[in-house]
Amino acid sequence: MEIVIYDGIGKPLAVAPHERIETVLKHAEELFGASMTNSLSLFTESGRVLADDQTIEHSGLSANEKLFLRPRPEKAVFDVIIFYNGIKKPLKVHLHEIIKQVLQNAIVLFAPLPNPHLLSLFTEAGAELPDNKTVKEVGLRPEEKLLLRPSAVRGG
Amino acid sequence: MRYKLPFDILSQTFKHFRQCGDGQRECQALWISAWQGPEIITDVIHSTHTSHVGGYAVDTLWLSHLWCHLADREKGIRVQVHTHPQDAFHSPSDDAFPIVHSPGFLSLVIPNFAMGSVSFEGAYLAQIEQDGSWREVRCEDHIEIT
Repeated sequence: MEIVIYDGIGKPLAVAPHERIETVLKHAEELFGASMTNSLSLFTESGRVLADDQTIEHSGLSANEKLFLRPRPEKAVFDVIIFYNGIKKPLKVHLHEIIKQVLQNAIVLFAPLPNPHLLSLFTEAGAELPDNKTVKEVGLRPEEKLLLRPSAVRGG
Repeated sequence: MRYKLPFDILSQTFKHFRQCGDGQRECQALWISAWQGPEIITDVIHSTHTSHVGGYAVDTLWLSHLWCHLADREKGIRVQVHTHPQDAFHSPSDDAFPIVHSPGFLSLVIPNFAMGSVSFEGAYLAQIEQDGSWREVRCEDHIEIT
């Protein structure tokens, strides 16, 4: 059957009922020359986002259905993985939560940790996350690994 | 917990201290064990740090790599060990900036830049209390050389 993909203009695309949405999305991106950045989703005319792991048939699509290529909606709440002294624990974060709050929640995960003011969150690459930015602003992604560790280790 | 420390790891630790510190600078190492069997120390890790006659500072990027290394191997740091030029004790910066902040964590200080016998002779062992303060404890109560 054929559906119509819109990204400004409409273009027809042949699909099979058992085809997965992620495959259709890939073909739709090729149709419009979009880069495969995993940043787009397919939406129905009523605004429903199609799940990548569903098929055309299971998504309830019919012939000549109009689908729209739009930016993939961000998940508002997701897990990041906190590392502390060799232990990994998941922590739910919200896109609009500030890092200071994420840090406090991470410290609670590994309580008791006296002197929590000496601990910070770092990315796997070693960048310290600024307390006053939000999860969205620092660009955290689902399942991202964060290191709960001291900012400084020294002695004398 | 009373850790079992193979003599070979103690010997390797002193070797690191002598090679890195050269009898002139402080040096730091970490004793590691698996989370599934924390009582048996399995590794010594010589930290990447800068140091001088009266102190050391661990490299921050290296510390991030260590955090990932430990998580990948399901191991944790049980004791931080460092040298002093003369007497062993816990200085204010030793108290304030340990690598692990959990109660029960141990910090061992070895005197004379570890140029003496490979043993706990003259060493100072401190432990983090529930309130975050440090308390001196006896080596033989917490670490058994095997």
